[in-house]
Amino acid sequence: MKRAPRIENKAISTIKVRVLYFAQVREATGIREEEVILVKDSIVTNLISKIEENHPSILRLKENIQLAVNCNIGGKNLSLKEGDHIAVFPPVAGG
Amino acid sequence: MSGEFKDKQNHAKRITAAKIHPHKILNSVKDKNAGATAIFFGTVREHSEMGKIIGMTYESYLEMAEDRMKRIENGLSHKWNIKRVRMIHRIGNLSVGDVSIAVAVSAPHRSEAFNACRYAIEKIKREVPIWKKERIVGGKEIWIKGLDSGKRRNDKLTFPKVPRF
Repeated sequence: MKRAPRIENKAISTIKVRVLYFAQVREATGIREEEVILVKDSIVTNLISKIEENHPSILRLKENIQLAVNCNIGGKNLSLKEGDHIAVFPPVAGG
Repeated sequence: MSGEFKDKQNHAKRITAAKIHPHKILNSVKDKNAGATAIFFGTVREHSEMGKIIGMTYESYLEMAEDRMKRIENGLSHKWNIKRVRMIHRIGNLSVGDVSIAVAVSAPHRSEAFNACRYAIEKIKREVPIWKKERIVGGKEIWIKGLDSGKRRNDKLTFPKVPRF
C-alpha cells in the first residue's frame, strides 16, 4: 500500500476482489485464483500493477493479456468494488 | 425475437467435458419450419506447425464462456431469420479426431443457415474465453495463439467477409 494516501486518524478502507488466471497466465502465476486486497476506489490499472508486483512472471505476457471484470471485458479505468471477480487471460483461442 | 426462441435454447450446457455426438446436435435443431440445417464441426487434427500431435487440451472460463455463447446465439436470431441454434464447445483432454466444437443452425432457407452458422463459429473463436494447448508427440505442450495475439487488447475485432449467395 505504498501509494495509498495518508489519512490521519482514519483507517484506510480496502476492498477484496477475486482474481482468476487462465491458460498461459495461470501457468505463469502458478495459481488458478487468489484474493487481492486493494485500496477502496481502485481501478483496473491499480489491480494490474499489484498483480505484476506479486507475479513478475506475467510481465513477459503483458502485451497479450486481457481482463474481464465480472465476465465483461473492461477498460483500464473501470472502478473495482468489493467482491468483484476479475479474470486475467491471453487472447481467446477456442474452436 | 420471441421468448419461444430463447426458451428452447437455454436448457442445454454450451461448454461440456462430455463427448459431442453429431446426431444429438442435429436432433437439437430440428424444426418443422426449417428447410435447411447447417452444421459446423471443429475437430482435432493430427498435424500442427510443431509436428505430429497426440491431442489437444482445452480450458475455459466457464461462467463467462456460457454467457458469451448465449449472447452469440441471441445475436444470430436478431440478424437472421433462423429457427433453432445449438452451439457446444468441449473442454478437457481431446484426442485426434474428436469433435471440439459444434455449431448447428436450422432456418427456412439455406442462405440464412449457412451465414448464421459461419458467423457463429467466427464469433466464438474471437469472443468466447476458451484456450487450447497442443500435446505434441514426445511430450511437449504448446499453447495455440489467439486470433488477436500481438495486437493491442482493445483493438476492434474484424471478421472475414461472409459470402453472400
